[in-house]
Amino acid sequence: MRERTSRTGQDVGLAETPNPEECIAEFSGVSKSYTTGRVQFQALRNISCRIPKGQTSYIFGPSGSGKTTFLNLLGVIDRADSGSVTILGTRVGDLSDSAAADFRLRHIGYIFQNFNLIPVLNALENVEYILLRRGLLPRDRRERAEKYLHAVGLSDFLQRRPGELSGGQRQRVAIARALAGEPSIIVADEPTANLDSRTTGEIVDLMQRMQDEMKTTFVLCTHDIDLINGSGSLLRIVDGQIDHTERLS
Amino acid sequence: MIWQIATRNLFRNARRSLMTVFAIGISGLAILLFGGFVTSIWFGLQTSIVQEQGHIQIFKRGYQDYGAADPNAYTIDHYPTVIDTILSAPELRGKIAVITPQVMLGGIAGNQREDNSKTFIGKGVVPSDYNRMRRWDSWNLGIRQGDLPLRDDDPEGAIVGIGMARMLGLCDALRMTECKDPPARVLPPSAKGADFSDLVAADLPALQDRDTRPRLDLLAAGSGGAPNIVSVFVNAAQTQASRAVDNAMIMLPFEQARKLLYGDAKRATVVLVQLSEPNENQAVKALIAQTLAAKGLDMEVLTFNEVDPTFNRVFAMFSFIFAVVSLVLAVVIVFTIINTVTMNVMERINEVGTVRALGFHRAAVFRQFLAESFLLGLFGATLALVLGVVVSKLLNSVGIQWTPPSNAAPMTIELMVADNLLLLGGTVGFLALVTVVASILPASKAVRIPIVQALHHA
Repeated sequence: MRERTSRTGQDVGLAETPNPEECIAEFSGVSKSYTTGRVQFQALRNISCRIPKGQTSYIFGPSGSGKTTFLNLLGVIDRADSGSVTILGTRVGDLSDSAAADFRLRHIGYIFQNFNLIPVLNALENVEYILLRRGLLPRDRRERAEKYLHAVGLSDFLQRRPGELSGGQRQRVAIARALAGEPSIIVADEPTANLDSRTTGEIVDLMQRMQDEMKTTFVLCTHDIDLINGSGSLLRIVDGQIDHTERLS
Repeated sequence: MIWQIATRNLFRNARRSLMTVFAIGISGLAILLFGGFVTSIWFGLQTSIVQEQGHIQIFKRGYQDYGAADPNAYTIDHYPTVIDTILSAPELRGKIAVITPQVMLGGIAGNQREDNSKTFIGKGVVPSDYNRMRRWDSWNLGIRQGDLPLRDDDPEGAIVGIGMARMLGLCDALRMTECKDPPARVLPPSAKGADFSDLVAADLPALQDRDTRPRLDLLAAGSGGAPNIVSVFVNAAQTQASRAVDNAMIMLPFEQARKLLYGDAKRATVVLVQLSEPNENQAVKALIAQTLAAKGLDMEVLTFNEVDPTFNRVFAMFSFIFAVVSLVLAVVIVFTIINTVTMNVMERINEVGTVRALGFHRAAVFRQFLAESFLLGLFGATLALVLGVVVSKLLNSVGIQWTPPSNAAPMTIELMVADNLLLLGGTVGFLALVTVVASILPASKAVRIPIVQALHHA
């Protein structure tokens, strides 16, 4: 059930978002463009907003609106042309390449549209892989990976490789992988775009449940309005600008 | 986990990996076989030389530089002293297999029966010592030259080169099928003058009557410069290493040669020393030099390759060819690996983007590709080792022969692959290194792709 409390239009911005203390990330005057061949494409135009901590934020908008670019900046895998992105008090645009990698490792969990599992590793190893980089001991890695795979309902599929799993199961592994790192933010880019409607529902419910249980900040990017349910906040991007924010309850 | 992923990725593209491993393996096989051949040259050639010349040669100081112009001045004056000094040195006990004197000489050889004469180069050897030297095979290569047809109790016996036999008209007399005597010459009576053989004939009229072997009369300048003559009876003709030597070579017993040059004086051109252990040349050389110097004997002690650099040159030539062949093969491997890794990279750009987005550094991804290449190199090297050992054993069993530049007789090629741990280890290291180096370029390109671009790569 949704309770709309926001207004739409160009005046939507920091005023509609939570106080800085309640935020995990803040975009301030962020612009980003891409050049494809000789054509320059303005993906984000002077965006300012805050992402609330411990909630699910939905980034909604049509294809090509700039949602993924927004998520890339939030996920610290891209840099803004101008403006700043601050996550947990760190201006991530100023980080070096390796510092950005460390930041992602510690604070960001990713759920991709195409699952992006390592094809030669089984479900358990895929989850363990990220923990390896975190420096966990083998036994701790295994225990934690099993815990999260169990949490997403894949206890019976630990030894299966991605090629032996259904789309929904693969995305569950991806969710377990994102959660296992116990990051501050989990960003999910169209996580259900490649799933059928029944599986989509299951995955959305799973993410919602995980968010409720772990109080991790989830930022979901989608063009599917039906995906948006439960509490949190909604941020709609159109033509590289935020034109609507809304608190969901 | 890096190795786990690397191994699985190789099996993921099994056919491509297999082709790459085969390319590396076949290149490695070529390196091993050629390396085995070069090793065989090194040991085989050294064995052949040591069988003829020993490991260490002792000359009167200055012989190497000036002896050719004035051999008498640079002759060892009393060789038994040199030999006794060495044999009685306690620190050299057990290290010396053979120690023997030798005389080098030159002069004119005449065959009175055929009215032929020509210049000769010769050496006087102690037959029993020389035959013992020819049995030396401390590396167990199976190189056997057989005994010379000279005996200690036959002081007038001799051997000549086949070319020498041909030119002196000894072929028929020696019943040799591989050479022919020169056509009979028809000379005007005025052209036929008395030569030194006629002198011998006058002095030694009964020589030919007491021996059925063809006789040669050797004329050489004695120690005082006066000419001296001895007669020898040719037992056999044998092919020598080079045509020039083959056309001039005479080998005769040491005592006969010594008498021809020095009369009763116990002089010798050189004392040859053959060692029991093949790898002690330098150490024993130093000990001998020390021992002789302590006794006040002013001698020059040299290893066989210091006396004649042919061995070093032949080995250097083959080593150079080996290096060039290895380099060419390295280029082949480099391009094969670049191709394989580039294809891997192209197929896995999305994966590269994923792991980098998950927080892995560029270096970690780089290492992952390098690990995969290293494994390819290792598998390829293992294949090369197996093939190298098997193929070399097969070829060795066939018994292919060749005649090295410094040898008179052909020797069997023994590809020393399995016995040469340095070659085996070096080849494995070389292949692994080349494959890793070859993957640096494509791997570094892969990790430089921006994450966003990599993630959106199909």
